[in-house]
Amino acid sequence: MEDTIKVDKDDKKQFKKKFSKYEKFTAKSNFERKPLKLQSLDLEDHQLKKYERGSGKINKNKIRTGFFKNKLFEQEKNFQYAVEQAARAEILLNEDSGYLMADDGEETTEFTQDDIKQHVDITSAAKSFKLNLDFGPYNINYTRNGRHLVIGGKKGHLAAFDWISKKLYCEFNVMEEIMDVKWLHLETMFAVAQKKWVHFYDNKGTEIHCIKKMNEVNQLEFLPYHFLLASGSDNGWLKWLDVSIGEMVAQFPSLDDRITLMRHNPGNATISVGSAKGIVSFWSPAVHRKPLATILCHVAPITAMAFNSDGSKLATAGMDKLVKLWDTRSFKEPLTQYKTKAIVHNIALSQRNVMALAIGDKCEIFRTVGTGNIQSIDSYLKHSENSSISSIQYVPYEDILGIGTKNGFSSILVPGCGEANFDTLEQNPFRTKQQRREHEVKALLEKIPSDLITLDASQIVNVDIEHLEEKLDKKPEVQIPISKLNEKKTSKRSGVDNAKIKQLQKAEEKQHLLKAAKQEEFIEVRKQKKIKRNADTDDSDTNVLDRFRKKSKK
Amino acid sequence: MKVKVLSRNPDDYIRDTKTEFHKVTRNYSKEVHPFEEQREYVRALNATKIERMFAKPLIGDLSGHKDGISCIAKHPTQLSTLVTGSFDGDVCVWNLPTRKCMKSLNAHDGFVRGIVFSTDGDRFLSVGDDKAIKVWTTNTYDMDDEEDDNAPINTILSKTVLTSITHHRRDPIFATCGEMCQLWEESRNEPLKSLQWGSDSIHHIQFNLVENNLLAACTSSRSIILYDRREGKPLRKVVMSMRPNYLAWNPMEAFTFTVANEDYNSYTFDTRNLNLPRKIHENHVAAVTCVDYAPTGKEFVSGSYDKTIRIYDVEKTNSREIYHTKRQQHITAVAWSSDNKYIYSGSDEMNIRIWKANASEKLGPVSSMIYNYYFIHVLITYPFYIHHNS
Repeated sequence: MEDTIKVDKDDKKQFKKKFSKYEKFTAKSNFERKPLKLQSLDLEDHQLKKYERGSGKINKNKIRTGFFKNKLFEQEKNFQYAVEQAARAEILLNEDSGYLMADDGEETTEFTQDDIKQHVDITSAAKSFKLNLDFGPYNINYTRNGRHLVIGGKKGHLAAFDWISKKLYCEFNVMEEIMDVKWLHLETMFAVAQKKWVHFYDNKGTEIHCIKKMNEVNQLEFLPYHFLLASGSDNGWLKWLDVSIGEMVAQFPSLDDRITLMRHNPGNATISVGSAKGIVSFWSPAVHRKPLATILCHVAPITAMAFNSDGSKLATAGMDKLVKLWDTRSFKEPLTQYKTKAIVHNIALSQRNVMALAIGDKCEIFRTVGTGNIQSIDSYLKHSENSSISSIQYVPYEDILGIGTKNGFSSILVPGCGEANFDTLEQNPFRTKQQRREHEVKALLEKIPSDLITLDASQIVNVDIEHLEEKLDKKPEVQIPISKLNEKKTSKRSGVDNAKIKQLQKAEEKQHLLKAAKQEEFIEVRKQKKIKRNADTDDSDTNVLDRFRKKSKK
Repeated sequence: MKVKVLSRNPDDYIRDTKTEFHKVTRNYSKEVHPFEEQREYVRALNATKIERMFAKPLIGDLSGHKDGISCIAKHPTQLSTLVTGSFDGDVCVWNLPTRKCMKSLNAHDGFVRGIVFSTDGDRFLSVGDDKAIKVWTTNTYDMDDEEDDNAPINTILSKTVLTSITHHRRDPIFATCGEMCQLWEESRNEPLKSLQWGSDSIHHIQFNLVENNLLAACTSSRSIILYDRREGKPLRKVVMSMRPNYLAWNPMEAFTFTVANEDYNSYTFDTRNLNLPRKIHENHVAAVTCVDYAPTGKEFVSGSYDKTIRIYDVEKTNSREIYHTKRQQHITAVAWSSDNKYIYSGSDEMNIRIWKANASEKLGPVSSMIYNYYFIHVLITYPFYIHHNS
């Protein structure tokens, strides 16, 4: 009991600390009666950096004209203002993320689920539960707002439900082997990779579609912003289906004979395939039959991999019992690696980069520590199930890890793994039916074309420097229309006509040459003038009173 | 041990009553907004295309004439009435909401050259190749009762050829043209005044809608002549390089008018400086045959021999919109409705088409919610609105 009281006090303190600035600011502004002009809060650099979109300030010296200098300067000011405003809005965030701290002499790994459950409120404790089911091993998938769950047992059992209120949407047996389950863009539809084909069901369990073009699929991935369902099949084929129009976008064989491990990068929508050769290859539907990149991650077959929520990090595990953490922008060497005692069969990374490894029937949870390229992983929690784990996934915006096992499903509490504050306009766990519909329409309007899938998602806002330079190099030349000059004589024309054409051509040529000569002359004159001017300024004896002299007109 | 697990109170996120707005919490950090750049790109692309995607300009047509349409006249007070004349001398009175011909009159021998409404809209006047000015009633209620209803109220026989007619905005006065410009009063059968400049024939005349004693006319000797009803002589003359076909005064600016010209362009003139046109409107690929201004005076529509209608901003050279259909032939007459919503076009192939002035605008009944919203808004801003009207 004492502990909990302490926590409460701590909370209050934190709250006070957080809002003290704000209070001061409001009191001041009330006093001065200047409510419109906001006074700047002391924003720290790391706070601002969090909201910066793109880096780099403009080098003003490289801009020639004052007009553009001003224009870009104004633009820059606006960008800076937007960043500041976003950082200021941080005080309006409702929630603080969870945490688990051990007292002296204790370790967080010692705490069991029961210990944690005893120390948290009832609603949170109710989120940790267990289902004993007979049709395992189970594949699980949460929706993007973390509210809904679909589980599919290998022996055909399929169930979709709201896991917080435990409201069941549908439950039935497809009477066929289930390889993978994935929610589509909304909680009203999900895709199931069955033994032969991929089937779509709605949340009442009605079969909507049977996709016969996707056959013998092992792995499914859904790219929500592109409305693409990607599948990796038993014969090594990769296929992308646009679920908004029901058309295959691309299909081609991958490097492997069989795809058993496939994930999508949520940061750039590329599909990555982990192979038995230890290679991870990255694929886009825009580039056929050729991977965007291949990386040799392990010297043994890859058993598991996972991206973090913004796609900046990739965790891989292989038969060599190594777990490696990579930066997805540079694959030169892993940020860190960790040796496990047994082979890891599943990895999950949470929104706050808490890593979960499934090793047999045990689940080990690690925190990634450090910033940038220096990373290390610390053991955080340990949990064991009574049967082998088949699939794990963190719940977005919750401190929960979902575990599908051979004997059912269980969800466990992992304090501090989820993002505390969601953006209602992006993902809202509390949305109503009306809001869901609006969200769907907006999402469809913003559907990103599949051609834009590349390794660098922000490529679209960058300047194509290569082509621009080419273009700029071409411009200053005087272009003589060679096609006209080299026009061949045709026998059908009369001699008079030919003569006329020749005359015209000559005139044109002359004009162009004249133009070129003039331009050269002009440049030469300008150069000389410049030299002269420079010489003038250098030679003259400068006097302080020179500025009052009459300026000579040049 | 100290532990805290995310636990959200639904009351912080769900609105209390249905009348409230939904609660919105924002988190601007990058991690929560994947694909920002690409989505913004798609959004921008949609924003530029959305008007084109929803463009559906043709509403319908009015069919019933047995020959090409020669002229269209708008009713001054009713939006639902339109009168058209055709090359076989027939005149039709249309009810626009039902798109039905309310009255078909065998008005003239030969072409109907011009139709115009009187000030109150009770009567309309038509001129034809038979040198007759005929006055008709717009009333269509007792059509079956008397046969005489299809006869004109008054017929004036002119001594000269008539090619166009225009009515004064307020007074019961109208003007016709042909060999000369003639001013008439509705109650008299003889012209009040005849005005002439040179010996060329005039093929179109129009009263100014603001400075309503001013008249402008197009002559076959490639010139535009300005008249004043109060003066004895014509005022000014502009000679163009090719024949002006038609002209329309700006209903909001007294000093501007636009001329449809034979050289594929329309010219907007300022009467204060007739040396140069204020703007040349290009884009048509054949002679422009007719123009009409929007009631706002900001835009105008032009019909052309190239079988298309174009909408121009008065200040711009290039058109904002082009309307055409497969079967539409040379445009002979256009009109812009008084509520600024529709455009009527008459063409050689006997059809009158109704177009939206704004191609992507959604038409149809206003939903009750929006209506209520506006009604409440009106009540708040004008609390005595209902009181005054009742």
